[in-house]
Amino acid sequence: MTTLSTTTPLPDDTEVPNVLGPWALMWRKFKRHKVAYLSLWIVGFIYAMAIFGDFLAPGDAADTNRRAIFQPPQGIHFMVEDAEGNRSFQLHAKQMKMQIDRATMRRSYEPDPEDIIPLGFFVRGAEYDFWGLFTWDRHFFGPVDPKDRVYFFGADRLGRDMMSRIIIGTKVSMSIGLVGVAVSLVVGVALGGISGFYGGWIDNLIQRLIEFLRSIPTIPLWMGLAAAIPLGWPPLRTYFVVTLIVSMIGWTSLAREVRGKFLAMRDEDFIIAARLDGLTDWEVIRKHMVPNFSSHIIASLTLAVPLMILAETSLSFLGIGLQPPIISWGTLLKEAQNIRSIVEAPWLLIAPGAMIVAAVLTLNFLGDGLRDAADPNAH
Amino acid sequence: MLSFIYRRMLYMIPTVFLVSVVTFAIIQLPPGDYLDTLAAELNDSGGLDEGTMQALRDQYGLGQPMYVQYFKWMKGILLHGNFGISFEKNVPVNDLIWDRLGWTFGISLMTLAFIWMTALPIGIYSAVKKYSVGDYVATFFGFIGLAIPNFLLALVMMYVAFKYFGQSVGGLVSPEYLDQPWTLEKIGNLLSRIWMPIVVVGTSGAAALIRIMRANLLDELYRPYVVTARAKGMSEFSLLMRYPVRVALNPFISTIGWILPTLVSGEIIVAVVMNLPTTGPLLLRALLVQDMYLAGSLIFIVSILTVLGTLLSDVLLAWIDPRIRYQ
Amino acid sequence: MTPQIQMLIDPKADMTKPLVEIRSLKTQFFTDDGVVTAVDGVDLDVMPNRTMVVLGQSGSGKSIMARSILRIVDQPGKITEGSILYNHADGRTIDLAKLRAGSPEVREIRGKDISMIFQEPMSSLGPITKIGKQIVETILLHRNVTKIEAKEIAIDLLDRVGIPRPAERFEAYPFELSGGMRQRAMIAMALSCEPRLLIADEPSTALDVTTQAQILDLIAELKEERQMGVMLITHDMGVAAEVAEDIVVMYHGKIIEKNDVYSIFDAPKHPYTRALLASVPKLGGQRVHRLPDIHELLKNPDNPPAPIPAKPRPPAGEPIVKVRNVSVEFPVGGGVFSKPTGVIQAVNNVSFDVYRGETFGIVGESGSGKSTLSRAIMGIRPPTSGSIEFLRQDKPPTEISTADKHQMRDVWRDMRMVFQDPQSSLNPRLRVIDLIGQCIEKAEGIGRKELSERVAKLLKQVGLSPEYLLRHPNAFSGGQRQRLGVARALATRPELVIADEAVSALDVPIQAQVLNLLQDLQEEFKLTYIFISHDLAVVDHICDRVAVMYKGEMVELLTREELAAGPKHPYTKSLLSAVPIPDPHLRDRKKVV
Repeated sequence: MTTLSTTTPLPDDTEVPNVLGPWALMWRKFKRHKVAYLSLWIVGFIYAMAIFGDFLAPGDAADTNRRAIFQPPQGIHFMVEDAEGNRSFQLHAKQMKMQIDRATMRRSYEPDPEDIIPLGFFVRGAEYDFWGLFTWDRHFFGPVDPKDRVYFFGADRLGRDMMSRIIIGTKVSMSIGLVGVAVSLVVGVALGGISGFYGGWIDNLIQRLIEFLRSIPTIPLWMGLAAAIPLGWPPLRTYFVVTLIVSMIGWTSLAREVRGKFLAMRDEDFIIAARLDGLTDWEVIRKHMVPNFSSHIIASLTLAVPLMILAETSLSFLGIGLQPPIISWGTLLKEAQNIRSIVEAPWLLIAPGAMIVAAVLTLNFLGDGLRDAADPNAH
Repeated sequence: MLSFIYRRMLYMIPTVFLVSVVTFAIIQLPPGDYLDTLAAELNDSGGLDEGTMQALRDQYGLGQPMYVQYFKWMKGILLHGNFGISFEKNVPVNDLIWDRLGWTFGISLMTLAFIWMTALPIGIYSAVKKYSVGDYVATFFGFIGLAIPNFLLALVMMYVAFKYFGQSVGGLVSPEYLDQPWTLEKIGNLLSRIWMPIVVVGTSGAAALIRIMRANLLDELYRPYVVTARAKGMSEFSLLMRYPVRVALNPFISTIGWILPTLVSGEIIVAVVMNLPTTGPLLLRALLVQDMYLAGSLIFIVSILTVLGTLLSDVLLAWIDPRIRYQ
Repeated sequence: MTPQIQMLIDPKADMTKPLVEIRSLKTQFFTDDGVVTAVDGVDLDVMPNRTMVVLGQSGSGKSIMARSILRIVDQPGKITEGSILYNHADGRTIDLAKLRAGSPEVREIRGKDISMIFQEPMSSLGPITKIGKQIVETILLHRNVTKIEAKEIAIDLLDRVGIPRPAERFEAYPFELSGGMRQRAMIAMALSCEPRLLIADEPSTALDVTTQAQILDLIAELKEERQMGVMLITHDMGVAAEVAEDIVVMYHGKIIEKNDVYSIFDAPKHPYTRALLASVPKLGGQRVHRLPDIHELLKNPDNPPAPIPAKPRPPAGEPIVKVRNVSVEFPVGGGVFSKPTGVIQAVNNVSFDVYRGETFGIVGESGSGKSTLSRAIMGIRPPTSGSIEFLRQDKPPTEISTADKHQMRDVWRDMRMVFQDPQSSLNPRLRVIDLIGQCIEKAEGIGRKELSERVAKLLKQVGLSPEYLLRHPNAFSGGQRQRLGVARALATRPELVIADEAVSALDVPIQAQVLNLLQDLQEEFKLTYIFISHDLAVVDHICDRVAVMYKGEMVELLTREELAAGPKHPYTKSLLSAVPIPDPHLRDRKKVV
C-alpha cells in the first residue's frame, strides 16, 4: 500500500467542536427558545389533565344540583378561627347560600362565613371508571366530606360544577386535536408524498384538489357536513365523524408542505447519491427523505392541533358538532351563547374560554419553537 | 398577462364543478327526500296538493337517479338562476339570500381592508425592530389573536359593551332603525356598530398576516440587494420601502387567496353570535331544520364567490409581480 | 462619455494622499455562540488611481473589512476598535468608524465617493425593480439633476459598460438579463455618481471565465478612464495577478503581507502567501506531479520541497466507456394542458472513448452540457439518443442508455460519483458509517461489525481519522466532507469514478490536497476518472485528455500535450486566453475573445 501523505492532520481542520447529532442540535436550539420550552411543559400538563381528568376533577361532572344553579365561583381559604378565636390552618371553602329575589326572580348567592367546607388532597368522592381499567373514588383535591359540593369555577344552569366539567372536557377537546392531526398526517403525508415524488399528472390532480379544498370557506362546508350527522347517533360515532370533518381541511397544508419538501429534495445531491448507492426508491424515501423533513412535519403537526381544537369548538358552539351529553370545551361554551346568561354568569364564558385560549396559545408557541429549531436557516 | 388570466380561469372550471358536486352531496346527505319533509309539513298545515307535488317531483327529478337530480338542479341554476325553494319558508331561495350575501361579502371585504391596514405597518415594524419591546408586544398580541376563536371574542366584546357601556350589540343597526328606510342617521348608526364585527372577524386574520409579513420581510431584510441599496447611500426608511417591503409584499398579497375563505367562514360564525343580517344565521337555521336547498344554495354561492375572489387576488398578484407575469 | 463626467474629475485632486486610511480596525460578530473576530487589527491605506487587490481564502475577513469601510456590515457585526479615515476631495477628513452606520455623513459617501459592487449580480439587484430605475435612484440621491437628465445619464452609462440596446435594457428587470449583463448594470450603477473609490467584492466569481475576463477588463478600463481607486476583493490568485497593482493578503482577519503585485508573486515573504501561491495549479506553467501541500509548506517554510515534475503517464489501456452520438434534450415550456413548446439540446451528438486507467477531463462553462453529459453516463438521466457502453473487467458490457433499474444498481457499484458540493451530497441526518457504508451494505450485505471495520479503513485511506465513524457530517469542515465524498465513492471498489466539479467549492490549499488525494488513490486502486470542471487549470493539472464542451457540443478532444502546445478550435483558444493566470508577468499575453 502506498503511504499517503494525506494522513497528516488536515488543513482546514480548525477542529469543529460540535459532534452533536441533528436531533440533539435541534433540541438545544429549542431549549433556548424560552417561551416555547415553557409551553412544552404547559401542553404536557394539559394533556396530563386530559388523561387523569377523572382523578383531577373535584367532583362528578354530570352531577346536577338545584341549590347551586348559576352559583358563582368559590374561593379557597387557608385559616379557620375556632370558638376561642385561635387561628389554625385548614384548607376550606365557604358555603354559598342562595337567595331568590321574589320580585325579579333573580338568584343571588352570599358566602356563609360560619358554614365551611373543609378541603383536602386525595379525598374520597364520586366514583369513576378510569379508562375502563378500574373504578376508583379518590380525587386529587376536593371537599373532605364526599357529600359536600364545591364550585371553584362556579356552576352552570343545572348547578353542575364547571371546574369538573372543564377538566373532563379536556379529554374530548384535546384528543380531537390529536386524532384529527393523526388523520391529517396519514392523508397529508401519503398524498403529499405521492404528489411530490412522482410529479406529473398525479401531482397536478392532487394539487387541484388541495386548491379546491382550500378555496372553499371551511365553516359553511363543515356546517353542511356536520348538520347531516343524525342526532340519534351514539356519542363516540359523532365524535369520530366530527373529527373526520375537522381534519378534512387540515391535511391540505401538510400535504403541501410534504410535497414541497419532496420536490426540493428529489433533485438534491444526497438523494441522487443515495440512489447511486443502490438504494431502492422506497429505501431512499424511508432512510433519507423522511428523516430530513420529519422535524418540519412535527412542527407543522403541532401547529395543526390548535386549528382542529378551534374548529371543534366552533362547530360544537353552533350546536352542530358534538352534542350534550358529550362534554367538550365547545359544548360548554354553547351554554354561554346568549348575552343574558353571560351577564348573569360570566364564568360560563370565562372559564372554558380561558382554557381554550391557553391550550391554543401554548400549542402555537410550541409549534413555532419547534419550527424555528427545525429550520437550520432561521434567523 | 391575458394568457395568464385565461389560464387561471381554465383552472377555475374544475373547481367550480367540484364545488357544485360537494354542495349537491350536502343537499343529499340528510336521510329521506325533501318532498317527504314537505309533504309532512303540508299535511300538517292542512292541504296536500297532488298536482303541486308532482310538479316539484318533476322539477327536481326526485326519485330518479342521483346524476339526473344533479343535472336538473344545475340546469335550474345555470339557465334560470333558480336555486330552488326554501321548504321551511316556502318561498324561492332567491328571495331570501341576496341581501344577506351582500352583507356577508361587504363585511368580509371591509374586514380585509381592516386586516391590511393593521397587519402591514405592524408587520413591517415588527420585522425591522426585531426583538424590540414593540416587536414582542406585537408578537404576543398576534399569538393571542390567533388563539381566541372569533365567536369567543364576539361574546367577550358583547359582554363588555353591554356591561360597561350599556350597549346592546345584536344586529347591524339599533332596533329602532330596523325597518326604517336608509337615511343618514341610519347609516351613521350602522357605522357606529359595524366596526365591532369587523374587528372581531379580522383579529385572527390580522394576527396571522402580521406574522406572515414579519417572516417575509425578515427573509428579505438580509438579502444582498438590501446591502446594495444601502451601499448606494439610501436612507434606511426609503430603501426599506422601495426594496425589501416591495418584495415581501407579494407573498403577502397572495394570502388573500386563503384569507378570504377564512374571513367568510369567520363572518358566518360571528354573525350567528352577534345576530347580524347576513348568511350566517340563515345558514345555521336552514341546516338545523334541514331546509337543504336553502342551505345548499348558500354554501354553493358563498364558495363560488370566494373562488372568484381568489382568482381576482391571483390576477392582482400577477399584475404587481413581473416575475409571475412572465412565467 | 458624457461631458458631465469630465468636469467632475478634479484636476487638482491630490493623487498622493490616500482616499481611505484604515488604522487598527477590528470588526467583531457577537453571536450566540460567542464573539467572532472577523477583522483583527487591520492597517491599510487605499490610494486613488490604484488597483488594490485584497486576496484571501474564505473566512479571511476580506469582505467584512471592505464592508466595514462603508459601514454596511450586517448585524450582529460591529466595529469595535480602530478608525477608518476618509479624506474628502475638499480636504475634510472624517472617521467613518466613529459615525453611526446610517448617519447622513456616511450615507453621503456611500454610492457617491465610494461605491461597491458585489459577487452575485442576481441577488444584489432589487428583483422586482427595473434596472433603469435602480440606477436613476442612485443618481437622484447624490447628483443635482432632474429625472430626465438622470435617465439620460443612466442610459449613457449602460452604453458605456457595454450593454447593447441600452435604452431598451433601461426598462428591463434583472431576471431578464444574463449574469454578465447584470454585473455590467451593477457596475453602471456603481459608477453613476463618479466615485473616487470602487470596491468590487468578488465581482467575477459567479461568472464564467470568458465573462469574467470581460468584466475585469471593463473595470480596468474604467479605472484608467476615471482615475479612480479600485479595491478588488478576490480569492482567485489568477484574478489578482491579472488586474492588481498592489496586493494585500489576508488570513484570519489580519493582513499578513502587502506589496506591489510583482513583489508578491515573485518574492512572497510570508510563508502562508508562499504556500498559497505554490498550491494553485498553474495553466501553462511547469507541470508537476503533485501539488505542494500547504501543511508541508507551512511546516517547512524556508526550504520547500522541490516540485516533482509530472511523470509520463502509462500508455492508455482498453476503453472502459464508449460514448457514441449521445444527445440529451430537455423539454421546455408548456403547461398542464399544453405540450412542451420546444426542447433544449443540452448535449448534442457527442462521441468519445474513455480508456482504462486514465483521467479524462470534460471542461466547459456553465450551460455547456458537461454536467448533463456526466449524468447521462452515470445513468441518472438517460440520453435522448445515442449509446453509452460501460465495459467492466470480468463482466459483460452494459449499455447504460437502455439498462433497467436492476442493472443500473449493479453498474453503480463499479461506476461511482464524487459530487461538487460536499455539503449537499451528504445527508445531514446520517452518521459517517451509514453515509459511506450504505452502498457496501447494499452490495454485499455484510454485518455491522465488519462494516465498521471496512468504513474505518476507508476513512484512513482518504486521510481521516477512523474515530469519526459515528459523527454526523455537520461535524466536519468543507475539505473533510469532500474526503468523505471520496471515501463513499471508493467504498464499493469501483473501476470508474466520475468527479463532477469535485474541487470547485473548495479553497485553493484544500483543493490541492483533494487533487493529490485523488491522484494517490488512482495509483493505488487503478482507477479511471472522468473529471468534470469549469476550471481549465485544474483540468490541465490532473487530466490526461480533455474534452472541451461548448453549448452542448464537444468542440475538441485534446491530450495534455496538445493542450499545452495550443488548441486549434477558436472556442478553446478563447477559453484558454480568458483563464486568469496566477503570474502577473503573463498578464499582457494576447487575448483572443
